[in-house]
Amino acid sequence: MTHWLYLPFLLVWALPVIAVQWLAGWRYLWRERGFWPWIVLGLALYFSLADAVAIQAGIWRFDTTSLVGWWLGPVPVEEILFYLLTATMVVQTVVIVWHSKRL
Amino acid sequence: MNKVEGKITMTYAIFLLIFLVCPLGALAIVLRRRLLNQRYLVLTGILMAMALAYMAPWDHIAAVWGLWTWTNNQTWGVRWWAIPPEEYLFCLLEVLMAITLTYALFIRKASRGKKRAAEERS
Repeated sequence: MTHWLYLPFLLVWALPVIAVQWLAGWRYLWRERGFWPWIVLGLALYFSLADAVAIQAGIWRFDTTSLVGWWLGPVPVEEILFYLLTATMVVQTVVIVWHSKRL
Repeated sequence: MNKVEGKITMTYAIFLLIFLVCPLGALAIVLRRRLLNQRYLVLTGILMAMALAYMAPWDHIAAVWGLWTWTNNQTWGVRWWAIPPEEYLFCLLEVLMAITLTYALFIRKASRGKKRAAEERS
């Protein structure tokens, strides 16, 4: 089985979830647009910095042939995008559930 | 920490302790009893389970393809599928941190809103 590059593999995995969240809870997400994006950015920044430490320490490494080749220090851009998208998925869920009062 | 070729190296478990467990501990100290909120607890439980179920197959395929690898002697050496247990913990703790931080900021926002409303009334 041919393997995918990291970027499309990440986008195909994360974007449908984010799309469904906007379809289901766009009112809440839009109403809170001055609130949750900052949390997402803060988390993505923090985890990217932590990721840099892990890469430098040699805990994990990437197959460079599967990356687009843009790096911020030791961190590939795909990894920064990974933290942005995962934080978005979680934080958006919290915002939607909290406002919809489903729990 | 492990010693590899005379050098001290950080293990995945120590990484989790420093970057995930410590900030979560700090958040827990700030929130204290508010962590016992039923909605927060239910949401956290459901979301952590969903995140694990959604992440594990994806991470496994990536590991099988070799998109990323972990250094054996910096993990516990076990693999569940192609993934070290620490990776599952990372997923769970990352989700826990994102939920708890959002919850903490929601509480702060709500209490500021109440305070402002009270000031406007007086």
